Amino acid sequence: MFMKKIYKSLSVFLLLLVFSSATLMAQRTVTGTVLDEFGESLPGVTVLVKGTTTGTATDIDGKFSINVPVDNEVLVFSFIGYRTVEQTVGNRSNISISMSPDESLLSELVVTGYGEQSKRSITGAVTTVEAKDLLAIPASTFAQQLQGRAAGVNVTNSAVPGGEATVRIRGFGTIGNNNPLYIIDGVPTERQSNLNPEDIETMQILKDASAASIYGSRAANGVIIITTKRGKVGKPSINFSTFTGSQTAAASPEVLNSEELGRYLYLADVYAGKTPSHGQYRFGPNGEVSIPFYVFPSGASEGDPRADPSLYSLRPGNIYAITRAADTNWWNEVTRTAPIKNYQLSAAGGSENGRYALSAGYFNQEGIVKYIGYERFSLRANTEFKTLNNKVTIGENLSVTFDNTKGGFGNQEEQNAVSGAYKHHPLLPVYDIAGNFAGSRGANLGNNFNPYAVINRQQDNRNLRLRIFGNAYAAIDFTEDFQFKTSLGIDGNTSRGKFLGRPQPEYVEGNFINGSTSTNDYTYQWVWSNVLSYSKVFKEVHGFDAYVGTEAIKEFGEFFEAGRQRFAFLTPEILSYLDLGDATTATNSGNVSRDYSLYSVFGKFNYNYKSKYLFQVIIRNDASSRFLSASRSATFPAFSVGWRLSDENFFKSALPFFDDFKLRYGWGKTGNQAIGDYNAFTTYRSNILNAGYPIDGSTSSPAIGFDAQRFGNPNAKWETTTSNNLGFDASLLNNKINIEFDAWTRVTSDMLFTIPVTFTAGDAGASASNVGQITNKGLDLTLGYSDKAMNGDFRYSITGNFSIYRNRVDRLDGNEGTRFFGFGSRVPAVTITQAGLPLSSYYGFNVLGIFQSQEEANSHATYGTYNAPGKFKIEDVNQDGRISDDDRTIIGNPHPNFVYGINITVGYKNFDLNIFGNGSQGNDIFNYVRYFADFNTFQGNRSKAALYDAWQPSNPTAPRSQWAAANPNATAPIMDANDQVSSRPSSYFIEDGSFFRIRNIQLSYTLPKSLLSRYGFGNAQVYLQGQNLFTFTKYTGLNPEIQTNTDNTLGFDGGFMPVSKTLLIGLNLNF
Amino acid sequence: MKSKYKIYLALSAFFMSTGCSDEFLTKEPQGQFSSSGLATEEGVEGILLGAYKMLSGTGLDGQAPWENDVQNWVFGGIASDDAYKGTDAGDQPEQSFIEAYDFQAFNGHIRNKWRGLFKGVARANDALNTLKNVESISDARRNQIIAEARFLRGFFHMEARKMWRNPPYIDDTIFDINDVESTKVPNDKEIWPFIEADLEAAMNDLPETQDQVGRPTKWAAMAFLAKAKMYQGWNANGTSNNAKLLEAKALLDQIVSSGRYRLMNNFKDNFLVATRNNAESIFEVQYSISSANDQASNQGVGLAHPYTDPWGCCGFYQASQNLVNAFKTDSNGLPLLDTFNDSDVSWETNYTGPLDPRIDHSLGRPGILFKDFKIHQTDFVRDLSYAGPYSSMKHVAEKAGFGIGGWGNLTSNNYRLMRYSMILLWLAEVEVEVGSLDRARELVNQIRSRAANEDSWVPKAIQGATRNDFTIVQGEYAAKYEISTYNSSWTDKDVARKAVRFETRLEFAMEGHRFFDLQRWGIAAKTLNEYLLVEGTKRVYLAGRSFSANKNEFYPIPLEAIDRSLIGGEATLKQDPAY
Repeated sequence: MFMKKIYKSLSVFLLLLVFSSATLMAQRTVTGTVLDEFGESLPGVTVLVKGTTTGTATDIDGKFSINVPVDNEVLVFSFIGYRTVEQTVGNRSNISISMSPDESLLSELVVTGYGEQSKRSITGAVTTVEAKDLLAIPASTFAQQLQGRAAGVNVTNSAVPGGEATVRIRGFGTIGNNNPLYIIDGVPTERQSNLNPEDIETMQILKDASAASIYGSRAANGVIIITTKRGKVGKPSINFSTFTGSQTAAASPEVLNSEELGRYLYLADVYAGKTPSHGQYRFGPNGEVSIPFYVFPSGASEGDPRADPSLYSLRPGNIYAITRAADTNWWNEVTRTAPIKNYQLSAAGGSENGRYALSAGYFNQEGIVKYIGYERFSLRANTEFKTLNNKVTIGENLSVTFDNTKGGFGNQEEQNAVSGAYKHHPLLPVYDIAGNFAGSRGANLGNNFNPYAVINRQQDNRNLRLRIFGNAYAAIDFTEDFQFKTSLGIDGNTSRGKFLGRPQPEYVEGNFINGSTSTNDYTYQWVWSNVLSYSKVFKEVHGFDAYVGTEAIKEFGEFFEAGRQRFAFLTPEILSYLDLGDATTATNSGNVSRDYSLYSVFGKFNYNYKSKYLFQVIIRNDASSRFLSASRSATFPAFSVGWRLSDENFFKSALPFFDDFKLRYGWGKTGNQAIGDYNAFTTYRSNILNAGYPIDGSTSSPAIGFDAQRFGNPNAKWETTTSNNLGFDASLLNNKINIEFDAWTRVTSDMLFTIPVTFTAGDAGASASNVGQITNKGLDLTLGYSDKAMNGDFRYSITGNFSIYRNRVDRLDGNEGTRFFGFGSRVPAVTITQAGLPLSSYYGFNVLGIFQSQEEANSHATYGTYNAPGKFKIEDVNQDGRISDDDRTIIGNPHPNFVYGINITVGYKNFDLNIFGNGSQGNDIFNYVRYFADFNTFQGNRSKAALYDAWQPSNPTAPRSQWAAANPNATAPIMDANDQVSSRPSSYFIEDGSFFRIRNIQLSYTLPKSLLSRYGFGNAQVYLQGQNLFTFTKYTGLNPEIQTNTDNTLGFDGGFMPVSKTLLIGLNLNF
Repeated sequence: MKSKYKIYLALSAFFMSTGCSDEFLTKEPQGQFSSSGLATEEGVEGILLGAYKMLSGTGLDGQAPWENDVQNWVFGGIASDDAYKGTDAGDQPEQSFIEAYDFQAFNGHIRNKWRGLFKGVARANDALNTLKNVESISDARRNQIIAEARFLRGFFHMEARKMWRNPPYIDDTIFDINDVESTKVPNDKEIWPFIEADLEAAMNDLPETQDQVGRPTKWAAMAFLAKAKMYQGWNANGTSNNAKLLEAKALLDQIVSSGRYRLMNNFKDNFLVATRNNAESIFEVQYSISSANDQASNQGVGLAHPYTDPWGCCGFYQASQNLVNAFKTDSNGLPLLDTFNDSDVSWETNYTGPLDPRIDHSLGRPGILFKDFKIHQTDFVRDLSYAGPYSSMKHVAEKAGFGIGGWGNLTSNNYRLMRYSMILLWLAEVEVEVGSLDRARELVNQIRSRAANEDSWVPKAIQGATRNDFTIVQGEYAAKYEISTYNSSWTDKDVARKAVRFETRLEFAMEGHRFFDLQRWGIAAKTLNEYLLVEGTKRVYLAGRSFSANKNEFYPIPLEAIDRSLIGGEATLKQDPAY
């Protein structure tokens, strides 16, 4: 619907331009009205006398009047998005018709650069995603909604309210930055954050260089073009939509309860050869577990004088927080059923001289983890005016969004609510006997934070962001073919964070000191672009379309942070404001976060012959401040060709059931300069951490010197990605079947790679150099089938998309042995990037199995004193008879074999059912949660697997050398309180991350028009929706969607929030 | 308008908009200093200060401070017979691997120790190179800066040589801040001569006194030069290299005869904030802390504080039973050189046997007042069944130094990197080898006499009503302290050597030197394997562990250091052949 409205309105302007200076011949006059499929007037329809250039367009009421020469009797009615209708005039003087939409969508106009193009004439790999598909998923960003919607686009979502999504188009082209470029209403930005998704009209994804290279410099990772909603010519249309629902966690951790953990600890001591003992549990002769009455004092029984409540104290100098033992399910304590709601009110309309679209939105999502949430307010105004005989157009698109991320939660954090739920000791309660938060000060309870206390204390944390994004533009039509357009865009962001540090005296490593940190940053970007365009069809068969343009971009940002400690009170109205803290504890810092400029000159030339042979050339030159003048600019060319075989007679006769078949090939180069702003310069910093030393012996004030911060590389130049794309688009059987297929390669050369600096040079940051090469290749396929039956009362469609990419690092710095390790945590880095391998391959020991006997352990390659029954049998990769770090090998691949999405809609009369799912197949995940949950690591809780899936001897009292397996099929190693080796990174941590998730099931009902019109409504719809109701996966973690920040560590699950199962009810009303 | 004119107008508007100056695309770094901007006297002094910073163990990005701690509680402490990793089995498993002599080249602690020391080298070289571009500076100050930078460069390399058999040596002619490849040099030669050259040059040019206590004097450089020689005083099988030892002796004698330093009356003054930079100190690593900033504090030992109020974190670095037993004395107050470990100093019941009073300034044990905080009990440790009841103590500041910053454990308690007692005991070591046994005895007795000062003994304290309360019993001591000097002449060289080395262990217990002392004496494998055999019966997790002779005396070169040293596909750094 939205699509069609915009075509209608766009066409009005195009046609007004085309015909404003046309000379009309007076023969006889035919008048009439054109209506759309709903029986409403359709303005802007082209009415042409067939075989001439004589024509007109329908006015705002769908009416037209045209002079028809005597010898020409056929009128052609055409409108973008609708099937063309021909009518023989005969002796009629009034012709009224109704037009129906063209389901093939081939005549859609889509934005593919600094102009629009009909989908028919596209020769690059461009995928369009409809707003209605995006909006099927309630989400805080459009990028989350894009998941599973487009072949070749791989989206990993964050389940955290307000979280963003990682978007990768056609694999990973480089190591530094693989984020696509977003173009919102013509303004480029690298941020997806806080744009209201409901304002989006349409989204185009430019996947290959022949399409994207018009954005040259930053287009190497693909481009996502977003067009927001505009008004259409016609009466004001007012729309109100809302949904509300509730969310629950879709998965929960499988951990031990108090009694089970006692059994685990008993066995771990027994199998370690220790006499079982524990600061809390008491063990019977056969391992019977008795749970104490108190955990502080440790292991005290009921009536123990040490637990006399009068001894209770929780103040500096005397911490004696008496705490009863419990059997706490921490997951239940930290999660909840949480509401989500959204409201959107919009108005749009316009006349021939001006149109407008206004909207206001409010979105509020609370977290399934308690005390966190996200809310967003947004306003948008898009307007456009025409003057001077409609030859001058002035307009603007502007959005203001304000959002607020509340509370404290970070995926991957070791003490977040999710991690706490599987780590924190089940013997501990939420509160001690005095009602204060309970800590783990008793013996052998570990040093995790009380996970409920953590989120409770951070509930007043706020991160507030304000974003102003938009542009103002002016266009002049010099002639009907020749236009100049200038646009000035801005992207202004400012954010303010408040992070309140409430003391946690009960925490075993805690204290009584409170604190507060405030952060503030801003970035602004302006973009000025100028485009001169020309378009003309010669002799009705030679279509030319060309433009040249320039673009200048500047971005600058600064960061500021300050903090104080020791506030008198902990209430948010005190603790939020730095003035009230102890001034002697003041800290602050400030720096430049962003500083670059870009200047580009570009041009595009299209030619088609009868829309049958299509040809396009693009060339762009970019100059970036991130390179020194010698290597500052680079040119990115591209070309593509298309051949509409379906217009060839031989094809038509051989394959008549094809409505359309177009073969496409494109080649092009795109660039990347995401290397930080001052790559060329060697710089120094001056701070206490790196250069503060009390050389004069002061106990309180260090002198501060200088420390090298970054090694400069003055010789860096643009990285280039060269891509090839061969594809076809086909429509068959009266457009019931639509196919889009692409096969592609992308080769990134002169890859800007931050070569790991040799340690002897110091720790200054490395600069990027042009050294590496990465190849990606793959296939994208979109298949759709749609049909109607029972006179259109029954409608159905099924659309699927499927994409494959294969990634390979060809070269890093020319040295074969160069290895680049990823993120290290409490275990050494688990990913490696090396020539010949996919980016970020998992690296570690390969576990062949579990030793079933001492003989088997003895006959295997030695591994210190580790090998024993029940322990991992590590592969001796280099076959030197011993296990050492040289035996670490590639143990997994985070890249999927393929990803896919499937969308099914079924409609009967006023009911519509939509089912959407997406999945990933064949990707591995490094489940780091197991480090804490499955092994003898910290004191705290363990997973069910650590107890129930562990190898155990059938004869535990026998000497270890005689142990036989009680459960030879065990998957986890023997419980052993002395074992620190099993938890080293190994294939044990690697799990198949394949999943298929039913993301959305929606049943909607459109109220009958007859009923609505009685109350003045134009259109109304109610729906019920279920999100994430089913996930099919073998992955044992909470969420197989692992979003990792850096591309050298993919699929590392350090404790991710699971997705929510959400039930929603929604309403759309149109006046 | 005619079309032609319109087109002309359009084109001119277009080209007007395309004008773009170089100025628009030139961005000088904001908020950072440039290399050339620091080629001034202030600049080079600041860069030199950055090199000093690397003494502290912090200052290196991407590390935990304890990984590169100058106090060496991991590499010199828990790797020795003085201490266990402590806390619980799972925390910091990399330290457990070090404790178990399972030295893997990818161990992050080993990696960051390497990074930290060589960053120190790089910072010193950067100061030297920057100085070459500074014109307006007095010759005197120029020479001092060179001497200080060479002192630091020598020191960092010496620490590296203690850690690794074959680290490279990188000087200012190699280092080039503008060429990240410049320091990729092979580690194919013995670096002790270069270390000595740097320290000797520093010794020759440094003044006898410094206005700022953090800067090394001539005497400090002399002491470190002597230390370098002491580290070459024995070969791997324990035979002495008397020529080197005599070189050391010449230096050590000079320091002693200068009369500039003396032993403090109270042994504990070497471990308190209040008595920093005292008369015994030759060179200290300076720390500072304010309520607003703890980044120049003793972060490296932050974890190695008791697991109880007020520290709470994290119970690392627990003294071994073996070390506790070493403080036993006979009824004459002399150490039990051969039999000390035959029976344990008990902790469940009040131990009444005679003990060297230094024990309760070196480690925490149940029933004894811990500095001026409270009485040590088993709640000081995190898992009694794992690593026993003892704590580490020397680096813990007194109560007045606690809690100044956000994390109370962090303090300005300096690390006495070089103190006069070391000079005396090194000299004693040399005298034993060169045959002056009585001089050795006299030197050891100086140390013991100071320890015998009752003013410094830990008093008896009685637990009060709440956990933190205690009452000191005037005139009584926490244990039965017995200590005396060796009053009869030493006649047997082996016994004398044993006595000197035993004294070194007692005097410097838990100060991060023990592993390296065993290494330089060539007795690490023997000592540590004997230790493990007995200790494994007391701490189950140590059972079955062993130390590989001619291998574990040194750590492997970090794998990533080798990985990052490629030139033309070939690693310039070669792994220690023992690994």
